Amino acid sequence: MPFLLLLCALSLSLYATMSDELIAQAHAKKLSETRYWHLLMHTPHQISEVDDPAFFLSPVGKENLSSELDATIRRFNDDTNRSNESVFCRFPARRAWIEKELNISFGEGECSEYEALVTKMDPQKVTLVFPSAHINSPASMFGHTFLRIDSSMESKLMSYAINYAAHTDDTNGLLFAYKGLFGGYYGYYSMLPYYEKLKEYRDSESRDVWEYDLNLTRDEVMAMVRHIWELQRMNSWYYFFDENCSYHMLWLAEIARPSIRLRDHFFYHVIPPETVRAFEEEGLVTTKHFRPSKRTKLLAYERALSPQGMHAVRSLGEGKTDVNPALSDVQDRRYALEAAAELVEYNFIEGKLSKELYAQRYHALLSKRAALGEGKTLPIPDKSNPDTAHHAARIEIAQGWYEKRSPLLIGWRPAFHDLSEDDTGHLLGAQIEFLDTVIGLDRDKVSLEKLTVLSLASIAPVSHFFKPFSWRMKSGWDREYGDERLSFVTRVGGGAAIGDERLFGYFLSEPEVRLGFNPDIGLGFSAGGGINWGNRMKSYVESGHIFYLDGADRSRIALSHLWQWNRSSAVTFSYEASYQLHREDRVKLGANLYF
Amino acid sequence: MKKVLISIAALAALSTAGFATVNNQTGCGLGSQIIHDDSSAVMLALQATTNSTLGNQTFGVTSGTSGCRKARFVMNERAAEFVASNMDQLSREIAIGQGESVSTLAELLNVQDKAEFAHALQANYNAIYTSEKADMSTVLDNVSIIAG
Repeated sequence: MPFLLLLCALSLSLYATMSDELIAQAHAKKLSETRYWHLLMHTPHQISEVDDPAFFLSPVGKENLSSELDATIRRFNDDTNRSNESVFCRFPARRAWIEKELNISFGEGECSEYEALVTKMDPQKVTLVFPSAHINSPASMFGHTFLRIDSSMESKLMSYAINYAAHTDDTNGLLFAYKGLFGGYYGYYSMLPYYEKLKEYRDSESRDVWEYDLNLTRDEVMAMVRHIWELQRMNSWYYFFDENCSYHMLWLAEIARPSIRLRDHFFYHVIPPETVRAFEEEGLVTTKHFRPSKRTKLLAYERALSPQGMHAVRSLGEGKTDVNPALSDVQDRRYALEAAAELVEYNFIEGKLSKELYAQRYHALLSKRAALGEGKTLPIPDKSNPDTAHHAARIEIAQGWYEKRSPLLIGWRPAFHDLSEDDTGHLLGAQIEFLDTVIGLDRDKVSLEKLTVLSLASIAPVSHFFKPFSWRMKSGWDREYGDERLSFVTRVGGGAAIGDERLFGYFLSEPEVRLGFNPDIGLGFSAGGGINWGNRMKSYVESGHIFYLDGADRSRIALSHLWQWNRSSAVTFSYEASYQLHREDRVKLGANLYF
Repeated sequence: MKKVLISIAALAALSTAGFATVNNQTGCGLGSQIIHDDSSAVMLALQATTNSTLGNQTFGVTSGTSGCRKARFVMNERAAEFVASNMDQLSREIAIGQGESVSTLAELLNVQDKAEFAHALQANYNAIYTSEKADMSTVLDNVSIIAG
């Protein structure tokens, strides 16, 4: 017995010395100061962005990277438990890196869960996935990005999507937005088969999905997978503007290939489409793919179908199945049945059809469709890739010629896109602007011309299959009411739109509330439209009339033309005439710089 | 998304009543799509601030087929998972005679000639999807019989 005790003590001290030695080596090499350790610890500067205590092995690990490295080495070396929940198995990326840096091996463990994951995932390649905006949700223009780990299978549907999102139980929209923006939700990583993500984004939310294959090597992909394993169940506070989904994908890519500096492309906010560009600028992207959303597909059917075919789709969708004889062309019949099946599925997803009724109609339609044999592949029109869109932040410099003054206008808008701007790479008719600020410089004074806190618009054209509602809201200061005086306006309105990517028009009814020198309430009606001429040129017109409770009615017409030179610059011209007791003309010529 | 999983769970519960366990990722038959949250436009606009998901925190490599009857002839868990989760998309592609889900299934079943596979399934749609109540196991078994 004493002998055994002695042996234990000896082995303990042996372990202890070995750990101390390894730690000393790590200190000598200054490992805790290296970039890679900072990456593994999600520490841009001093303090880790991971908020989960389980992520740290030292009690002061979040603030002290050196102490965390010491603790990590000690646990890898000393812990006898090497089963699934052990430190040994939970941190394969840290382990692989320390082993490489110190040129040692911590030996074998029994990490069956991790091994099973790697076997099933069979990680070979990585793709960056960007689901673009969905109709009627301008805020979704910011999009979303996640990574897809591809296996050696040819099919990408069986790949796994690595996603980072906030976790919430709240149902109150305002609370939701507030906490999303200012913190209050935890973000988590999740992993799901890619087909599940497609069902969510492409089908349920009807968002076009863009894919960007990356040139990461298999070793780099493995480094990423090891680290993803370390992040499971770990939480971090979620912030919409900076520590969001896309930001976390930047970390993962830097872990895979530490020589790239994706995060340096952003200084304050991380906007998902911009992350795509950061990946491209770092030379990571090889090929690009497009997956049309359910809505895009249905619109393509609208183009392919004859007018009778379109009519048939409606009745077929409503369960009236006897329309075949009316369509003489067999391909038209095929398309009509396919489109009807898509439409029935769409209505089921939208909650407009019960599951029983859906299954019955869907099956009946497909059964009929199958009887017509193989046909043509539905042609889907090309869309401009989101990576060709103008950059998110804008500086505007313009010369204005107004009724009583000719100010030089200087504007700054951190994000993102308005209806008069070039739609290349954007969802048509979606607008979202934050803190759009314009200052006017006259000979003797500086004045605030406009400060839009938030403006959103969703001009969603109705079509044969879709009857969306168009709406718009704006809240901010402007000089549109009574003698160019500054007032704060909040306006929310709804209506309808028609058209397509080339030409569109809309009509909105917009009540507004004005606060400031002379508070007033108004009810306005606006009609507008735009033409995308091609070559990134766009004309936009809007006219409106508004009835005020106190003030005189106001009429207004505005015309603008914009030429988007490239992703970073545009030239604009606008003319605006308004009439409220007297007429006022405003002409503006300027340039927009995007970055 | 909140309501989504609840609705799916509810639907799955309805459709698989009689089974002891309920698969809450998907059902086993048609209706594997995610039901859209019927929030107002404003809610949708606000929700985008979190890319919100609830119950989507899965860190698993399986989408699960625990609520489904097992196929008799096909002992292929990945194919079973795939079919159970993609019933709708798959049936439409089989009826048309082409698509990514059909070629994925071919690959999962180690079928060499994918074009021939798609062609054979197209011609036999009604033998595969015998009724709107066809479930994963029936579809998978029928596919394996047709593809030989």
